Amino acid sequence: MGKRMSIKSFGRVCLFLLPIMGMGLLVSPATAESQEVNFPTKPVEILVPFGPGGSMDITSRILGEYLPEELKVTVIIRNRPGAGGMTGTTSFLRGKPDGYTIVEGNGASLISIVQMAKNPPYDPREDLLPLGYVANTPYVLVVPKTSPFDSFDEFVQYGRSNPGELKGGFANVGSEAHFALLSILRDAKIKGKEIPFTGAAQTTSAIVGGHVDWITKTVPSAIGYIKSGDMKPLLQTSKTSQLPNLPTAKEKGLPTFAITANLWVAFFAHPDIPRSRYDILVSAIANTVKKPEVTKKLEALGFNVDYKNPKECSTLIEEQWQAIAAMIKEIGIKTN
Amino acid sequence: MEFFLNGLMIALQPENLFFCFMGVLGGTLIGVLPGIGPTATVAILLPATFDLNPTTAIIMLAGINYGAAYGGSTTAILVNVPGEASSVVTCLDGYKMARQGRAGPALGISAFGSYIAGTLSIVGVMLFSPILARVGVAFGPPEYFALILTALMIVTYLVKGSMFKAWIMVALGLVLGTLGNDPLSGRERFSYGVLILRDGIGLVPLVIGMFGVSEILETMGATVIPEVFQKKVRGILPTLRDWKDSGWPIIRSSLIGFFLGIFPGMTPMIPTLLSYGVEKKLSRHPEKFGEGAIEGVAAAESCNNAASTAGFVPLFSLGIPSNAFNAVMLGALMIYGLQPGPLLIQTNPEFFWGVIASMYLGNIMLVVLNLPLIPVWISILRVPYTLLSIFIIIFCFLGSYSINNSTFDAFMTFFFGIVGFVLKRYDFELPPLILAFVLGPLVESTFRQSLMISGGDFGIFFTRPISAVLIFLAVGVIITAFIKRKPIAEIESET
Repeated sequence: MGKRMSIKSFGRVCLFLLPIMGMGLLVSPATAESQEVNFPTKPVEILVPFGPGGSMDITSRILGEYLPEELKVTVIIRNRPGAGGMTGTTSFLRGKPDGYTIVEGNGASLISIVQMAKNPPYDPREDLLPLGYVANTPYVLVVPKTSPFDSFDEFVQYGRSNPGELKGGFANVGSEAHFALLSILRDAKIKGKEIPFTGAAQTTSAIVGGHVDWITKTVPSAIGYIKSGDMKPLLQTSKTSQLPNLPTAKEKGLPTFAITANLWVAFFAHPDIPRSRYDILVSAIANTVKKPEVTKKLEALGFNVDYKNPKECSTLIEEQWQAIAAMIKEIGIKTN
Repeated sequence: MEFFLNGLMIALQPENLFFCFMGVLGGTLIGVLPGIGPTATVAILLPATFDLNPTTAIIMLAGINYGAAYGGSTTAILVNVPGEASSVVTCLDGYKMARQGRAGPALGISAFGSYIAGTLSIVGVMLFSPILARVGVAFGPPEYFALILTALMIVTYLVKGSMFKAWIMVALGLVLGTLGNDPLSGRERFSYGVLILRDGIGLVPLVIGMFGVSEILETMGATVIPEVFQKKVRGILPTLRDWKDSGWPIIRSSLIGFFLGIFPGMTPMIPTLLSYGVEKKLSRHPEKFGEGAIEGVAAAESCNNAASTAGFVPLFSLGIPSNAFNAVMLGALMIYGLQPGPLLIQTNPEFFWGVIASMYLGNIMLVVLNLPLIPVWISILRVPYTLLSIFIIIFCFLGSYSINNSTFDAFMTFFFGIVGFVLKRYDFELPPLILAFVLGPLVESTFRQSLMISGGDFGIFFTRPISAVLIFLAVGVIITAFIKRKPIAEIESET
């Protein structure tokens, strides 16, 4: 009997609390969505089309830790790696457009790898609705410490007068690093060897060991080697606090390097998602990215946190899409 | 030494000791379950460790890794399901030992072997980290090519029956390895425009299917229950004789594992295969290898463990991860604000030495934890096989599904189970197939990278001293494989 009483009184407390909680929601800035207050009512899933443990995966996990504060439901991370991100993104598009699943994307999984495929499974400009652009990472061109080049101009001069001599390394076909390498060769009018490796670690090992002449790397992953003197930086995509005196692509008159060499992260919804739910997700992501703890963690991971709203995100995707399409057409690389 | 004592003080702090224990305990459990690997576990745990002290967090994550290496041999020995790729070599003799009622000594020697190898390897990491890391990067594509070619030739040492059939299996493994995206040009091969085939065949579905599922299919068709469950289980711990047999193999394999493990482009499979080959060559009874020789288990397990510990050399002293797990660790280091790279040890000595010291303690914990577990594992074998096989099959499919959350992988596991069953029926040996499947793509990419660097000149393999020596070694291996075969056949016919 006593037990039942306590349940009853617990229920009463809840009944009492509910209206207060409801009022809190009404007062909150998200008044426009009040018709759809019952979204989300069950866990929201972030589909990560990459394997666990990489910087893309960790980014989602950091967001997954803080998104519940906004959405008030649990956030689940599900990895579905394969085909450079295309497997996961395709399976996402086949799912229900109810807003309970969102997908992570970057320049490789949505632009370069898609364009290189013979039958692109989707077009990110039409098939995906951006929820927000979270962060990006600048790139730097590095040479081994034993390299004779001390400046980008020396590098270009040598490359032009000795066509086919410079051995450039990159990790994974269709990746940001691959197009970064192609952009340098194209923009600086150099002809050189392109040596593919199967991962960033192999490329790092090859440059420290002096087996290739140059590679491009994200600034945060290269900075340790630059400080120790194992790599010499020659050029970066944009001004960074870590390398304040290094020339940028713009200063050297290279048009595409900064567009293609950019490891960015954004989140996307299914194009058929109900509008009100879409708006809830957009503001939840915006608020989460702006949290100082999230910014701090993403920066520690090497990202430059730079929130952009869906419209700005679409513009950036269009720009990179065009740059890569032009390059693929010019060089003629297709996977089939 | 002073640094190390400082590190030991850090590792002995109650909090660090606790997380070290949690790591090795969790790692052991993950290692026992096929398919669920340490890499995915650490990735999932990572956000939860943000608030820990970086040293404590890395101590725990590293514990998961070497704990899993200990646990990985358990299913390989008991039910012929390798927990990881390099455990395929452990299966060769370990499962045979279990079927002879000697699961206890097999599990015991792999625990002790792993302990000895792990400890020796830590000493190596401590003493030589900065120097050896520089040696590791001296290996370019031509050197890797020559080394992997040697390993591929050593596959011939594993053959028990017909050499001709083994070559067919090697060829089949190489062909299966070419499926999917070409790693260097990205071109699709045999994918028929199907997205899921672009990544080729997964190692886990292949290994679990060919070893685990086919084993179940085989026993299902058999009217006799496998002898392991009828024969009395003899002994829990390795005997004095076992120790005598495995002492030197453990030491030798630890050294091979450590020195090859420091190369960032190495999968543990290569040193494990090489040390098994070396032990078989040095043994006075090579014909027992593959029939339940304890040296085979000791060599495979200790080498495996030494190599995985040695992977910390390029990670800590150069910031270059040598496998998927260390790549996650690299991300973790960045999150904790410890900049990976050549200056890591110099700028964070208390971190480096704390983690190293914790690995000594963790290895001791693992032996203490694993020895009492051996009788528990053996008692699992007393479960009626009809019941046990159901659980094995469930874990096989769960394991292969969980890698990529892919039902396709589960179907592949089933498919390879049937293929493995048919091949075994006709006396084709499966290990050469698996090993060729793993090594094939590596041989291909290093070969092509070398030629791209040299501009198509084959001289690159012979003008670089290390690669020249290794190529001669590979040729030597293949010649001795043919020379040795005759005497063994004669011995067998005499007895």
